[in-house]
Parts: sequence; structure tokens; C-alpha cells
Amino acid sequence: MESEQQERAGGTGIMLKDITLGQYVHLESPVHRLDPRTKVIITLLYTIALFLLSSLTSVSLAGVPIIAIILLSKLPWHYIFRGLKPLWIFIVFTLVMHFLSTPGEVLYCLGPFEVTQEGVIQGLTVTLRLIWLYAGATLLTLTTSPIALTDGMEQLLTPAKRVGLPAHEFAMMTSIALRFIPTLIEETEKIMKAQSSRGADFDSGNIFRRAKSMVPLMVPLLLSAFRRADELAMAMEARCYRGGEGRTRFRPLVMRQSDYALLGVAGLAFILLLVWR
Amino acid sequence: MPIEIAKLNYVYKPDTPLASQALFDIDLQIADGELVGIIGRTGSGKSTLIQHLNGLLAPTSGTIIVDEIVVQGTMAGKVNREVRSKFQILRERVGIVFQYPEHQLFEETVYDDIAYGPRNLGLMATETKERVLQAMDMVGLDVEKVAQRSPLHLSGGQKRRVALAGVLAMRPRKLILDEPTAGLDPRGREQLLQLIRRLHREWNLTVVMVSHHMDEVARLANRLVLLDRGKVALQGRPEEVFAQKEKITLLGMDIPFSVKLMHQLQEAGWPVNLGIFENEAIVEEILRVLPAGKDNEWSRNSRNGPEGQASC
Repeated sequence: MESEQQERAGGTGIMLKDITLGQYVHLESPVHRLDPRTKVIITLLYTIALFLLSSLTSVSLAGVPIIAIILLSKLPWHYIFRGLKPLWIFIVFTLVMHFLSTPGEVLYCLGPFEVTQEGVIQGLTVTLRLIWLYAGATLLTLTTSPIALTDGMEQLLTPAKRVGLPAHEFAMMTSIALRFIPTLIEETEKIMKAQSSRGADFDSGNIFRRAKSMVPLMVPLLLSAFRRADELAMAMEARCYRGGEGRTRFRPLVMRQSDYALLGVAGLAFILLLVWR
Repeated sequence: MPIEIAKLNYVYKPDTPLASQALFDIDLQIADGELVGIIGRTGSGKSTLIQHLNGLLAPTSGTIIVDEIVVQGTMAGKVNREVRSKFQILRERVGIVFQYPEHQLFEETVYDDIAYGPRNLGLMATETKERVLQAMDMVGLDVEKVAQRSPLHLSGGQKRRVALAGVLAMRPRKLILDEPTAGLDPRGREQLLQLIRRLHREWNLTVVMVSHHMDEVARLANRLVLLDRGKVALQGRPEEVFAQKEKITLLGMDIPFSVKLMHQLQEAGWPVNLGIFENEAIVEEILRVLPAGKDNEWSRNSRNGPEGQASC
């Protein structure tokens, strides 16, 4: 799987970097090598656990596995926390709201508002929970290529096929969509240049003028998306694609011993948490 | 007035680990009324170069002068109002027709699509109409039959003409065409080449044509510029450029079939003039060196002749 992923990531990575969506960073690390299913399950368990923990101490301790995984993944720190930037207003807002609105022992008076001890603890707990939640999800996408991720999801959802959930189609749609993001960005740039050559101005005027100036961009883009979809469908059919039924994989996902071991540890920790609570 | 490019450098994504320089110290002059062919392999910097000519890309360093408009390297990055209005004027002077230009069509009718440019210039309806009709005439589109149709329902060759008209309606003095014949069938290709020649001759447009197709550029251009890895590797009149057959092959480019044919005829001992590469002129040249009545000599040499051709 690895070389294929590397190739895909290499081809699309540059463009994907411009937009923040499930950015995958290809590195050689034990975390990258884990089976995507292991990572998805552990992320899921971790998320549930975060909401089960209620004290500030326990939520703080929940950061230990995250930090351990970041160290193991060899990812630079700023990669993981860079994405928090757009969230910071939200974080500050949460923090302030909790500081001010929780009744309890008053620490400090701010005009008509009272900062309470309970409020500070509550606020820190919620904020930390939010940060770990975000870091966990980011770690998953940073260390798992989109293709591996959709493959893993498909496999995990396979049992649900019995009740009519189109797991394969869902996974195929997701990976095609991800695959075409950079292509469409490129296409957008091309059309923008062509229309600019005809005197188009995309970034001045009020909101209505701007919206109107998008028409010469969106129509050709939409047309080209349909054209590409048609061509892709034809190319897939020419290679006898007919859904997931009986389809085998070139590089099947393999659970290694480390995967089982890690799942065991995570499962055990989760059960202990449930009992201990 | 001409186009002058001096010491042009361009770096994609500068100051990042992904930085890559696409153009190195390009010096190039294009005089008014010239028909210049820019050739080079994929990734040689052809497209990057032409996008500088109407301000779609701003140079990392170096100068571009189009008529009296000067674009300088220090402008890269800080595209303020002044630079933007400069680019706007530049785009009126220099029209670029991109690869597969029919993909940019978006209006409901051919007329409206061609009118998009003039309307962006803020022209009155009467002036716009005049320009649209003229542009359609220039590219050989029948106004009565086509103007009110949807551009999406036309044939491939016609769509391309509509897109070309859309650029011509801006009334540029310089026309830049990026791979204008890509994806057309041989007939459409031939018609488009004739159209480009006509635009150049009858409307006196300066034309810059980018291609990796040696044959078609060789036939049209007065001057060829060969780019290789972001540098000008060779330039001059087509016959001067093609005389350096070894160098062109070394650069990974193909010389036109006609040139190959003449070289092989010469190697086979025929006294042909190597400076000729127009199909019609070649036929005449071959007839000239073929001595009338000397059947013996012809049959002696014919062993080489057909073989030489077959290996082309």
C-alpha cells in the first residue's frame, strides 16, 4: 500500500497543502504504518472516552496518549496545532463563558460579572477536551493517506452492508472526491487566467458584483467537472468496474501484530475507564 | 511598439521548500508584425513565459516592456491598485488564447460570450456590437447562423473560433496562442493555421504561437525561439534554427518532417537546398534537382530515396 500512497500523495500533496482539508503528511513512522482501521477505531474510542471523563485532572491526563502519538509520528508540533488557529475565537469564547456563567465560589469581580473557581475549572476542562479532540482527529488525517482512510472506513463498514448501507460506493465516492480536489483547483486557476485575459476582475466591487463575476468561472468549472466525471466513468467501465461486488484489492489491508496489540491496549483502557467511572 | 523582455526570472512558490525556478534570465525581443513560434518540451517554461506578457504572472526579477508599459520584477508580490490597472491595460494590448480555449465559454449565446471582454472594458452597446461582429468576421464565423446559438452546441473547431473571437474582440495588437491546434482533427488544424496566418497578414497582428509541434510552427513563423529548461536555447529564422539539426535533437525536440526529408536527400547525394521546408516549395525543389531525362541516374539513386523516406 505504501508506495501507491506515496505516489498519490506526491502527486496531489502540493496542491492540497493550499487548502486545509484532511492534509496527509507522508513520513516513515510507526504511527503511519498502522492499519487505518486500527487508527479509526482508536480515534473513535478516544473521542468517546474524552466525553466520559469529567474532572480536570483526568482530562489533562488524556493528553498523555496524544503527546505520545505525536512524538511517535515524528510530525512537527506546529503541523498539529496550526489548524487550531481558526478555532481560537471559539476556544476563548467557551473559556470566558464558562468563567463567567458557572455559579460557585467567587474568585474575582469584573463589574457585574463574577469569575468563579468552579467556572475556571469547568472552562479549562471543556477547552482541553476540545483541543485533545481536535488533535486526535488531526493526527488521524495527518498520518493516514485519504485513500487508506477510505479503504479502512469501507472495511469497517462492510458488516453494515447487510442492512443496506452502500459501504463500497460511499468509500469510492469519497476517494474520487478527494482525488479531484487538486484537479479542480488547477482547473479553476486556468479558467480564472483565461477570463482575466478577457478583462475579468474577480476581486473588486461589492458582494453582488463579486458574486456576478463568479458566473464566468463557475459555469466552465461545472461543465468541466461533468466532462471529467463522464470520462472517469467511461474509463472505469472500460476496465470492467461494476461496483464493489467481488472486487479484490491490489494491496489488501493487513492487520499486523502491533495493530492487534495497540487495539488490545486501547480496548482494555476503555473498559477500565468504564468500570472505574 | 515591440515587446522587450530583459533578464526575466520567475520562481514558483518562492521562499518555500517547494520553490522551483521556471525561467532563467530570459532575454527576448518581439518586433511588431512578427510571427514568432515558441517551441519547447513540456515543462520548458513556454506557458510561464507567455503568461508574463499580459500580467497573469508578475516577474520575480527582470523587466518586461510591452509598448510603453513597463512591468518590473520588484512588483512581484505587491500587486497594488497601480499595478493592477497596469495589468488591465496590458490585457487590452495583449490577448492570450489558452490551450483548449473552448473550455472557458460560459454564456448562453455565442454573441454574449464574445461580448464578455468588450463589456468588461466598459464599452457602450454599439461599440460592443461592432467589435463582436468584427471578431466573428475575423475568425470566419457566420453571424446570422451562429451568433444566437449556444456555444456549447457547436462543433469543436467552431467552439475554438468563438473563444478566439472572444479574445480578438478585446482588439489586442498582440495575439498569443498557446497550443492553438491541440485536440483538433487534421482538417480543423489546417483551417486554424490558415486563420492564424490570415490574422497575422491581413490584420497585421503580432502573433506569438506556442507549440511543441515543430511542423506547424515551422510553416508559419518568421522566427523561432526554442526554450529548454527555462532558458532560450536557440533562436532565429526557421532555416537557421533547423540547420542546427544536431542541437535540436540533443534538446529532445523533433525537427519537422520536411526538414528531415531534405537532410536525408542531401545525405543521399542530391544537391537540395536545406533552407526550404514549406511543403509546396519542397516539391518544387525536388523537381528542380531531378534532372529531366536522366532516367539512369534517378534509378541509380532511387535505392537510397525510398529508404530514406521510409525511415522518417
